[in-house]
Amino acid sequence: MSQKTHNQKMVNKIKLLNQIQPRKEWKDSFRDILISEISQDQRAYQPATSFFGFFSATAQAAKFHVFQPTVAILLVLGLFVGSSLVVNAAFYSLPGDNLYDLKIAMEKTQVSIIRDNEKKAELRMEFAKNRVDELDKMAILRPEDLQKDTISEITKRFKSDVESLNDHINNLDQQKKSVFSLARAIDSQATEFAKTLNKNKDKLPDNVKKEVEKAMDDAVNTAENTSESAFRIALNNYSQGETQEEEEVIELIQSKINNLEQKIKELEDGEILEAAQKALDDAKNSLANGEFDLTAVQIAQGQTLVEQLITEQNQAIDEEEATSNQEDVNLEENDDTNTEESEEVSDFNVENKVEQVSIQSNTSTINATQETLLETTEDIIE
Amino acid sequence: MNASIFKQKLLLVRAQNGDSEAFGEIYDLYVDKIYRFIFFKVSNHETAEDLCAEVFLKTWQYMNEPDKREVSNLNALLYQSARNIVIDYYRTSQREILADTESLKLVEDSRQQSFLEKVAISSEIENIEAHLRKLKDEFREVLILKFVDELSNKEISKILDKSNGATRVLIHRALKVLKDTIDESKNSQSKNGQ
Repeated sequence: MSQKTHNQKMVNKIKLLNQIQPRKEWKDSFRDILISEISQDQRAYQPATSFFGFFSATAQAAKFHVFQPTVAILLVLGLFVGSSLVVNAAFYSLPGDNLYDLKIAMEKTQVSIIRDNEKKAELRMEFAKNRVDELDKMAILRPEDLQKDTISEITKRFKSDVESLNDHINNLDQQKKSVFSLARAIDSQATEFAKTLNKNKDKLPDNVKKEVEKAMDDAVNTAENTSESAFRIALNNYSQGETQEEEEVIELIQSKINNLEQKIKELEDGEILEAAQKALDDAKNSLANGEFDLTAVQIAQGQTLVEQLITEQNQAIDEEEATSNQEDVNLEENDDTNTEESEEVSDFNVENKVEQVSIQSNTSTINATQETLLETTEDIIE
Repeated sequence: MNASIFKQKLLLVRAQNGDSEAFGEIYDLYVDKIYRFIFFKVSNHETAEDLCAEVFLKTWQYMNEPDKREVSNLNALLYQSARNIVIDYYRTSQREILADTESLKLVEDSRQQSFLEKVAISSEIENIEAHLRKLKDEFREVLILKFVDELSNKEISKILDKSNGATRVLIHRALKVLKDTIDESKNSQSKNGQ
């Protein structure tokens, strides 16, 4: 085959990749959202009142009404009146509902069109909270739908919201006071999410529990890391003499100390735990002395130790489970291969028993003889 | 000027004057291409969707900024915007540039194809996609622009901000590297088969 033909064949194969397309439902729903969002910016554009303009507008309107009624309602009521059934329905939708994709798309669009990082961060926080609420509602309203896929989806979205939140916080104008309130809110969201997940994980089938638990831990860790970033930024602001009130700083640090204390209580004893406990005590002392930076360092040390301990304890549990599973497998295998052996063993045991009985009877004979001898001896003495 | 180029110019002018419907038509024309362009730079469909959405929103914002500059090339603007957004995505989230091969769940709805044909094509796509993902980003990018989106060298050079000559050389080198990658994979497969 010539080089040219070979290349042409390869190029033809590359051209097949034009079949890669976005999902149709995403394409359509995002188009509607895009148009609705940018329509609000149309102040500058005044179309000429002409037959063409009128025709075009009518055709567009007809297109919306005939082919995309959801969007038409969303546009007309949702955007220009301020609320609509669809918007509300989408807002209250849960994973698996038809309007859930629209809800997520609306959230993404809201963030995309805002430039202010502070507002973006606030929105992301709100969306993370939505995920917690969704999980809770699913557990109450539709526990039968709360399967691995649903929890994984919610967990993944929560993690992604928190990751984006972290990005916005890092891009935030460091002087902004809101970092403080964000740091506190993330803490409470992370705790809330962990609680809700823990509460509902019992409803999962056993075979998927472990996998979901890992995803959950991952999401909660991401939230905690994000909270950590916000905490550091907030503290840095305070150290540089920004306008933060001292009570707020103390309150934030105290909430961190409480979280750490709670975690330490839940763990098993050991050297690492002692070290974490020491870091916690040091942090409390430093806080009492007003040394906020040092407190933050000691809290971080305590948290690192706690995480290390959690990882070690989880590994130990994994190993234990793996060993126990292996033993089960070995036992099953042995059951099959040792049937004959066990029969032999049981024969051997029967023989043993016969011998034991015979020994026992011999022993009783000896005992009886001893007793007779004793009686005879007593008689002789008398 | 052919009809398609004229239509795009017209759409561009209307969109720059704040006409959202015109921008909707631009979206229809470009969404598949921009999505595809991004998909080959990130590791999954969901991220590609998010970033693609961002491209269109940011392009609109850029076109309608109060102190906007005149946009003369819509094609270049959208692809450049997509490139920058992907760079930002990797920079801000400190993710590694993709290396994994996500199996394709696509090949949309070609009803005229028989099932077997579809399976064969899907497998071809997965195969070539896997090889493409092994290439450097700039090679993969230029091959997609040239052979999938069928852009001219001139158009590609504007998007990549390179000269015509440099673009031509890049395409040539990218093809050669792709060929080597495929050959290498075939050789190792035949060795393993022996």
